[in-house]
Amino acid sequence: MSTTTVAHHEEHSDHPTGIMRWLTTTNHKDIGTMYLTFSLVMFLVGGAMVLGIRAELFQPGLQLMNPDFYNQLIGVHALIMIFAALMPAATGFANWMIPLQIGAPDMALPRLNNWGFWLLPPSAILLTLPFTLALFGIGDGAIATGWTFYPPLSVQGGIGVDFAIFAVHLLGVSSVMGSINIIVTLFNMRAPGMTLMKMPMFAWGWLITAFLLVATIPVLAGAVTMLLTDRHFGTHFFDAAGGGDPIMFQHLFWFFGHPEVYILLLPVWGFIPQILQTFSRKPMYGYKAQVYSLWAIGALAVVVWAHHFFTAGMPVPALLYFMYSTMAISLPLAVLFFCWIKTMWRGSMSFETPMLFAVGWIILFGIGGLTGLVLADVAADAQYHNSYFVVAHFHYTLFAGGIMGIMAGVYYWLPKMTGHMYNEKLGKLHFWLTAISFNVTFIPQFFVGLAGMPRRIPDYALQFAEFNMISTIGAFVLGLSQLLFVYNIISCARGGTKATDKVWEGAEGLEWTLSSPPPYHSFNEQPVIK
Amino acid sequence: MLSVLDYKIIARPNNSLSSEGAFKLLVVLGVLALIVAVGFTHIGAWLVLPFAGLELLAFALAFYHIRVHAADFESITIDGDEVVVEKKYSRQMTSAVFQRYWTQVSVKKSSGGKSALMIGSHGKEIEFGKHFIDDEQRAVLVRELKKKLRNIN
Repeated sequence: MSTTTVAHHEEHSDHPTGIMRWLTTTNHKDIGTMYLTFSLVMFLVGGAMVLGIRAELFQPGLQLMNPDFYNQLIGVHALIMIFAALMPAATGFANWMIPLQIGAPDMALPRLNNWGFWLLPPSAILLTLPFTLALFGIGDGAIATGWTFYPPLSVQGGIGVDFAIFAVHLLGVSSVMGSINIIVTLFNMRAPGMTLMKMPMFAWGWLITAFLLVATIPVLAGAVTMLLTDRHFGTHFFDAAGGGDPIMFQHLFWFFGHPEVYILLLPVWGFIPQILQTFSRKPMYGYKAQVYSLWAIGALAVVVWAHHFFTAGMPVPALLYFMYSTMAISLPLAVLFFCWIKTMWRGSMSFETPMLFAVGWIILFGIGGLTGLVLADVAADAQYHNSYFVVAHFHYTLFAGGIMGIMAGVYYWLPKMTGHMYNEKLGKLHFWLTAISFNVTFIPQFFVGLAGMPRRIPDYALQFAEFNMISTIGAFVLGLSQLLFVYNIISCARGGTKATDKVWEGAEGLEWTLSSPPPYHSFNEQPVIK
Repeated sequence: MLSVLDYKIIARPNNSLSSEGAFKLLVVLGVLALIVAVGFTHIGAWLVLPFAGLELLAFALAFYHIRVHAADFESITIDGDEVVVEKKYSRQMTSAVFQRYWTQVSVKKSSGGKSALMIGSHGKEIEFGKHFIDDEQRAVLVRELKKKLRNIN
């Protein structure tokens, strides 16, 4: 008797076209593309806001905007870049690549996947709508508290705070939906033979990210809901005059906020090693060590939050605990750095654009990590807290460590996604302009921060003028050079040299066994991993 | 003399997680979320608790959904002069038996562009592979089934 088994999951047997394809799609590649496109658009929106901020800071004194509008730009820029640009980019890659990498035909819960994406545009509108409403005399603009929502400022703020609270709720629901889908997919839909310890590193990075989201999103949701009830329903959770505690909000917020950094970075730590091994043409070094290090970082991420507000005041034992536990993160991170470098060591390396971004990422993210160690020191933090040193540090972490990592991933997987090669010369030009202008923007901010320039102010002392001018020039070059990135992506999606199935000579993994672009329904025949 | 060709095709989803594994995973997620929520409730932030509960409820529903559908399958068995089509979706089990000599297979296109693989005889038809196979697989399967059904000497 001949027996044949075909394995496919439900809800994606058709191939809709037109606008309905995108509105109702349950196909993981379509949803991944929508996430990545949304992320790119919001990256440009958030980037335009920061150019306004840097233009104001080009010279001391108030030039272009009033301080309140400046604060609104600061807050919304951060919220957009974190929640609407970086997180959706990582989720877009997850949607595109996780099923392909584990040999699954789709995500486990395709409809949930569609809903998760379609919550994002309304939340982006909620974040930015108050700017428009203010033009018509409704409200007083967007949230002006920074992305941290600290009370009592946020309790006293205008309707922009309410809009931001609801936006955060929607984003949180979207993130939880994404986490459920990724956890269920990774546990239930791996191809036969793909044990957990055979999963690609990107899948591991996302699995730990999903667990972090599970632990922290309810805390953020609870915190902003308590803020909302303090604002409108007479509660006093964070009002000292009513017996509440504003410091409790900081604990709640940073219990989410610190792991959020790793939520943004862990997926990148997952695919960067894959890029390094591809362009070094040798196996990844220390797979198990990297997996265990990712778990160690994930575990430490949820127990170190209070280093973000050492200066708010806390008992000495608490200060010491949070200082040492924060510094302890550098141990597994050092293991990762060692493995990344050892992967390249004596490899037959070539420097196509993804590799340039990956190597540049290691160096620049390394600076972000080391300056984080400085801030983890309680005594040093007393001086650096709320200075531009912090701004420079987290941009080395989140722009270099996050966005430049995402760019490496885009160049790495774009030929697989579109079926066309991008323009390599433009890609390399984009890398060098980005890397150089990024440093021109942020190195001066370390200096002015060390000299005492505080963050979140539109004006500053004359002594900081030259460094701020350099930083603004760097920011504009950095911003404008991203147009090359956009052009390269669009032209690659529209046509170009046909990409091979494997695309890169040293590429390893199931996604490279499919055609470029992969068929609408991938893995009609279940792959078996040996 | 009739030569008998036995043939069976099964369409089913791949499940790499056992029921026991799903339960353990749910327990781990529950413990993780509840430790955090109870901790913050203890210091006065009790509104974290309902959100943690909602999150766990969503996870429980997701795992319930995949477990309910874990054993889903559709199969066609050609044995002797019988063609047996069996379908299990959620808790519903259906089956149909057709005379091999009269069985016909076809792909029908609906107005929405969706295709359906129909198998049947004597005015009775049943759809095969609605949940587990795509258009491309349907076309291949129809060709294969026609060949198997014709293979009667």
